[in-house]
Amino acid sequence: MTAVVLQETFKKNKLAKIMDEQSKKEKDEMIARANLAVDKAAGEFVTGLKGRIDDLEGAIHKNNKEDVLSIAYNLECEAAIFGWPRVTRICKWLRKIFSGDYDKKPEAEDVLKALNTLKLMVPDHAHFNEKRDIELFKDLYPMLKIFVHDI
Amino acid sequence: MENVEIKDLKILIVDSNTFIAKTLYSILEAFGVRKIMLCNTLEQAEKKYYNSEIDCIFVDFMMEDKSGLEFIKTIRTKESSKNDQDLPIILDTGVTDLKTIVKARDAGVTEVIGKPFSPDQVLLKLNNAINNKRDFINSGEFTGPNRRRQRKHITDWEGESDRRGSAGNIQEK
Repeated sequence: MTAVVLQETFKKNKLAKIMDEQSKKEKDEMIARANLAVDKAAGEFVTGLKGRIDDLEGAIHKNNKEDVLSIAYNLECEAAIFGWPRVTRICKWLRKIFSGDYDKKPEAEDVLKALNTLKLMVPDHAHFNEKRDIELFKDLYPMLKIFVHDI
Repeated sequence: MENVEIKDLKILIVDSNTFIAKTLYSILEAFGVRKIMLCNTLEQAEKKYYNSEIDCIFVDFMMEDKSGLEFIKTIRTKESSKNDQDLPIILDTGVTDLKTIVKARDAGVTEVIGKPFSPDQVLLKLNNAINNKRDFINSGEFTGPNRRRQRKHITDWEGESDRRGSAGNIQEK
């Protein structure tokens, strides 16, 4: 092992380290830019949330299963991405009920109770109140679980 | 992304939820992807698949007209002159129970990404789908990427090559 070989190995390792750091830096920058884009989309989601819940209510009152399923599924996914976990779970419950994927069939008043809780959670985006939402969900949860166990 | 430059990818997003589709679009755009196509229906998506060159598809599980899984099966079984049968397909779904995942795997998806997804998950799945391709299986029963992800390194067998005639460990009485 000569000094030249050692020097070459050292150079190679240093280069690999620099390349790793560069690729990590690039990746971090990409993720940061993407997170900003998600934050922007989250703002748009919150603004339109009340209107979407109204659409869901309309579809439920008309007993339009296809619309209920599609709106509930979309809201479930969006609310999950943008950090509304309780809205996600109530929408998931509604999706499961309307697709027939339940343990026990709920009465109409049970569905309305879930819907009303959802409406109370999103009166409008300026009045977001997490503490109130947690309490509302705590009250509703035992009822949801009777009909869909994995909620 | 190490092997393939992300900015050079041509990606198709198929999702009836325009809001989710736009969010995914923004994430991919932020990654530097220059060519992203959006489709709201599977009919549009099929047309795009047969008429444009695509490097990767993101498809939602619950599309309005038919299941996203049927679209994946179509891609895997009907040839396109523009795209290879082993085109990476990432299923994005809000339904992540075991039954759905098994169905997705059997339909021939390359990766599954559960909603809610985050940008780093999107990057990870995209990288896996593009740069860590598994062998493509095309048998009568299944068409898609090898469902076995683990590569077990089994050491070479050192016993007899044909054991049909041997009694093995069975003790004869």
